[in-house]
Amino acid sequence: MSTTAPRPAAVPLRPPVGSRRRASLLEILSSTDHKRIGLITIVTAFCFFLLGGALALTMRAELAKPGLQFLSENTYNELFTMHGSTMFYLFAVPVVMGVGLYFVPLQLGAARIVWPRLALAGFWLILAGGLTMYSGFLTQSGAASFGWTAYFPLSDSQTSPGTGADFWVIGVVLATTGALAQALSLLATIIRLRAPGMTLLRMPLFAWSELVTVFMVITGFPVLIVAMTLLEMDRKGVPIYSSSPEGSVTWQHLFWFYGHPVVYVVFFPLVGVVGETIATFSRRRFFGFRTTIVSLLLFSAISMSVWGHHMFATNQVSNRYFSLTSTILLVPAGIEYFGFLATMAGGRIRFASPMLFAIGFVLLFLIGGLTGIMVASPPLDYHVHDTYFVVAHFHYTLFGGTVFGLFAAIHYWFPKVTGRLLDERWAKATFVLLFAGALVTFIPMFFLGSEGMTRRVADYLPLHHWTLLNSLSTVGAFTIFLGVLAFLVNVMRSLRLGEPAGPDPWEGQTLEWATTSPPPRHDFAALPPVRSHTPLLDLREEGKDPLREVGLEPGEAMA
Amino acid sequence: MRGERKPAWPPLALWGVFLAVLTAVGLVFFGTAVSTPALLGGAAAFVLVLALGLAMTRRSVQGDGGGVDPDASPATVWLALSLALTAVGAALGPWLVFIGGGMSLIGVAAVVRELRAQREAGR
Repeated sequence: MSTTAPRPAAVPLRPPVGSRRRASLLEILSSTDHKRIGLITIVTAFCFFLLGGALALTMRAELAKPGLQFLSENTYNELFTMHGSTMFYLFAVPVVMGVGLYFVPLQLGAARIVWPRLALAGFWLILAGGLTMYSGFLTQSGAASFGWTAYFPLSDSQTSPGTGADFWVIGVVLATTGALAQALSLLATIIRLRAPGMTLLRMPLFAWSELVTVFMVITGFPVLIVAMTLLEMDRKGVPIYSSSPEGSVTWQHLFWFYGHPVVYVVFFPLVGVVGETIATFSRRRFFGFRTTIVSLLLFSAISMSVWGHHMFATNQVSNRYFSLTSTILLVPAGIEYFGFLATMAGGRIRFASPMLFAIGFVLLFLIGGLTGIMVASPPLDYHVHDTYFVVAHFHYTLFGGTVFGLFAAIHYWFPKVTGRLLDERWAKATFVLLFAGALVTFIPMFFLGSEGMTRRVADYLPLHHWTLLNSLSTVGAFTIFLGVLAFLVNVMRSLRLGEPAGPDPWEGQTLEWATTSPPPRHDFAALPPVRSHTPLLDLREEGKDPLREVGLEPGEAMA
Repeated sequence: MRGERKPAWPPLALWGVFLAVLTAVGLVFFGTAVSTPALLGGAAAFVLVLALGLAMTRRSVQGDGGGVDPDASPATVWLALSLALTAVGAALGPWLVFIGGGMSLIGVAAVVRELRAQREAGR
């Protein structure tokens, strides 16, 4: 990126104003400040992550040995349905929106977001959706038990009667509408509120990854909202899917048109986070920035055209086309991986905790990606369809991608949000436990799946090695639990006792590091000149201190 | 820097073109199937129209944020929860739809009032 243009002086903005009075809970929960909306969305999503994780642990405990231990088959069905639904609709999608709402305006040098009320309403719709879905457990019929995919006619009113299933459908509509609302606010912010000098090609990688994510959200999410609304109408007696024998395939088309892109929605922003983390901790610019932007656009567009690979076994889609597009995904993915590796190869790497989680993302997601090529091939997919092989594959993309990416984001930006550093020893313990847990939990599932153990079953054949592999997987799941526990201890401890971080503890490259930690209501007192996607690194290379350029002291913690 | 023009439609248009190309490639494979080209082609058309709309609106970029928001918007929270109640009424019965609908009307009025007050404060 060129740094030879004449440098304008730092742009003074509004002076930091705001009260030091501690905000009440009501003020926080109804705030129009993008940072508060982002933060409450992230915290709420993380609570749902803990809830979904608890459901997963219960299932893994049941599966530790053959036979039914403490769950009935129907309860097990409810648990895997709510686990998958929680992780997608209530954790992964909202959390990437929350991270975007907090950090995209900061990276763009904006003082606010466009349509803050829409983003705030989005948060409340997500929360209301989650509570509605979970209130199914309180009904006589129990919670929904047809899987997060709600395949028709499994989800119709004859097969799955009861209010719990209705609550689930309505909850999904609410949560997805909430995420869509937040995405629209983000899109409008990126379009309208960039700082002086912040052209599109000067937006940081994370902001780009959020923009591309928003494209997928505005295209795919309305389809799910409509599909779910029609499902609820069908359940209430208006024949929609039940009006024709092809209704079940129509449902799958509509669902997967949302359901596959959503997998990318929940990890694309974290590709951006990981790219920036790797660049910052390799002390250089991200390698091939512009090529990576184009590859992100291409990657996301192709991801809209691969939904049919979930339907190979139906024989109702063009398997050749969907196999082709699913395999082509490798090209943009490879470009991004090349960018990660080339950035590290030429850098002076610091192995701080955010970097470890970023490397964990790169390694674990690779397993998910490579096994994705296998299931993109119809003959192989027929063999492993609906088995634990598929469960292992998507958990490497979702746990390896979304969770490790999110932990990279949290460890990277925690100092910015709270003004304090996380403890590195606890952070590294978290990383080791999560990484080991991810391998021990999900690797055995590949073997189980390729031998034919079907997913979504509460019991399995009492074969010696199946028991061993399942027990191993359960041990791994509890290792992950310990990792999450270590993380929570670290957060609680660091909020009180953590070292003050100052505005820029990592020598960051992007604008969010040019303000206090945490940032004031209007985000910036002054902005440095923006001449590339790494404005702070540009200044450092000119021998200037980016913080002094915007009137901050290195140790300044609060506005 | 208010009013500086930095067009934002090109990436959306490029993305729409990618989708259109993927649809065109698919036409070789899809045969008489309708769902697949309709979904993918529809998405491409939607995105291209959106990009065109963005290109034509010519809204300017406002670097300093372009406005002042109130610190909080309780009316928005009220409205969102009312809409959620109305939706839940689909499962629990018309009585909740009516209550939620009524609350939503109050919420809309409160949001409009907030926006008016915000506009007047900005003058």
